[in-house]
Amino acid sequence: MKKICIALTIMFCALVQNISAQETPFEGEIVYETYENYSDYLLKMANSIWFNGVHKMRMIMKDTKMHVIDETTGVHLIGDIANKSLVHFFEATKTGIDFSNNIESQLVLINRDINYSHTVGKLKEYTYADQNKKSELLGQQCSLSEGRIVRTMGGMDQTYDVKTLTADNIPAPQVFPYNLQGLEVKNLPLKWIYKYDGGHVGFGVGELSIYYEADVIEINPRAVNDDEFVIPADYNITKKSMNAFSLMKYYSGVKKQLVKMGIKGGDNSQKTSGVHYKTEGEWGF
Amino acid sequence: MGLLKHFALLSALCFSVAVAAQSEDDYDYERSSLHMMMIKHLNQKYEDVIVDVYKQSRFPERFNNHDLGVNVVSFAESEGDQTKNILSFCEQVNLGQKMVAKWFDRNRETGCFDMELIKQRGFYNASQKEINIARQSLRGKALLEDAGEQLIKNTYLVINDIRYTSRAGAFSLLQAFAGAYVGSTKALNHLYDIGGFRVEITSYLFRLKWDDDIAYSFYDNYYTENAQDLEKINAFKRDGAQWQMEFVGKTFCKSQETALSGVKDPNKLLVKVCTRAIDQNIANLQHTHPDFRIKAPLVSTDPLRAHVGLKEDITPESKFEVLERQIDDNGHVSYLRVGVISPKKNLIWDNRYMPDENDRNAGLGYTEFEVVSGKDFYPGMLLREKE
Repeated sequence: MKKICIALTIMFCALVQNISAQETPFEGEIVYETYENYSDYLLKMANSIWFNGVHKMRMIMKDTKMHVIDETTGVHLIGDIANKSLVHFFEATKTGIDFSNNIESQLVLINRDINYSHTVGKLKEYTYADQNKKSELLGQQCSLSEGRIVRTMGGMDQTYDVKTLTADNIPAPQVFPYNLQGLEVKNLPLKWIYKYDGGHVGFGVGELSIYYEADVIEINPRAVNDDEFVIPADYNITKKSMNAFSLMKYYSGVKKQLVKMGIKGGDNSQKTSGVHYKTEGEWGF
Repeated sequence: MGLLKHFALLSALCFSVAVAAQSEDDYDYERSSLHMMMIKHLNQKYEDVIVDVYKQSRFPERFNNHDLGVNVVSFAESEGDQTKNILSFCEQVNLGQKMVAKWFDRNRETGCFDMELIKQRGFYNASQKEINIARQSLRGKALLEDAGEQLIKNTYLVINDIRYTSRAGAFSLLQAFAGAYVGSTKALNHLYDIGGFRVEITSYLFRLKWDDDIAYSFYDNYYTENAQDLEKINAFKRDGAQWQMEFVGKTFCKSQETALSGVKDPNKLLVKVCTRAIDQNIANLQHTHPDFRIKAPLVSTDPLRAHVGLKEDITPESKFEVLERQIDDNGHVSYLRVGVISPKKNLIWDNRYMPDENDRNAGLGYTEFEVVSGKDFYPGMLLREKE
């Protein structure tokens, strides 16, 4: 009887520990690569920091805080969902922009209307949902969610077709949606894709479209210190994210530097990694 | 009466032979081999519509289909000029090696090769055993040299970068097409409202590098029919970078604006415009790159006729060499120019994909030629556009 009680106690403890492990949100960092394609106008805009190519990203996260580092460009994003703060800054120019007083402008995929820049972006359609399909990534069983999110902004429909594969056994920290433009995910995404369609604009602008695909290549659970979420004190961070000129000035500065560094608009043949590609079909040989 | 009956039978026989002899399949001649691909832009709305249309386009005539299985590629670093992206892609996937693997029918499980495809495309009648035995002989050697010269050296990759434009924008156009596919009347009406559209295609041409040195190295170090010959089998797997694709050229085609009003089957129209644009690019590439030019047999000599036409971008100003296929005592195949002919002005066949049925030349079935120089032509001689 005593042995049975001890055995049951041990089993119970193991069960509790297992449940706790599943319920504890992820703390640590993930490394992921993005594949990004933009329509011509979005590439050529005066303040566009976008370019067709691949970015190597690192995301450090703990509970309500995150620090996303774009190792390809030197751009950072530090967010704190508890304080509704989000700051975007760039190593090369030591400048940045604080979106905290206009945070919802960065949450276009959230499942509700958003208030930004003294206006409302109404949610028109939201079908993003679990599809009851599973697959495996990095040894983790993942669930597929996908759907369409349409929001009216600036009088035009902004359409996002979104797809995520999230690890069933790794709860995401609260802050993760800040890295997904507000997309609410319960578990840690190991792959996410969005296709943006901003429609066709006249006067020679053309199509506004983006394809963005992110694949996690490393998951590193570890203890994270709060000093990993500190914005450098000597950076010039503007708080005028509602001011169109301030936005343009910041991003134009980043773009100029990226071009100077050969990262945006540079000769891709000089990259040692070669072009990044995707194919359809299967090689016969 | 008996004689008349015999004469009638004989005439019928000659006629049927003459009719039978008019098929291109009756004539042996080496063709270039081609693998076709397209570039898909993942950010484009309805890019799947473009891929679907492309896959319905027919494979260009008078090329051997050297399909490798993968026909669609997307580049993260997509640019206006995709040449460097394609070269990097070819290097990374060892496309040249795959081209060679297909030529020699490499078995994925065993790693062994054979000569069956070479024989088939080179019209060789020898058995595999005979080829093996004859390899050291003069005729066998000729077979391999010819295989290199006439066949493997003329192995190409064409990659097509396809974009649609309309006054309403590509998105609106393709959205309407996508809707019309599934039978939406509203989408079809929207299509009519768009007015007209164009297809713009940039086609990039690459060629497999193959010369005597590469050929000898292949036969010496990699070719094996023995599954136990692990040294050669592993060497082929390891040395993928040996076989390379080289850039030959590119061309751009913008189709004429195509009206959509009243079109009942938009899918057919889209396929027609896309196919014609690709055919135009193939023809343009042949104009500028002689080695890429197709050959087409004369199917009759009185009058001179061949099954070529507007699809090959023939105009009244075109000139064609007439070539005689010869096999010398050593077994080598060569093509000897015996004359030059040019198309007759109003007898150029409209053989483009889905020609206008009301156009008289659509029903011709051939283009008729007149002699510029040479004589004593016979059916089976080959035409090739003259430089």
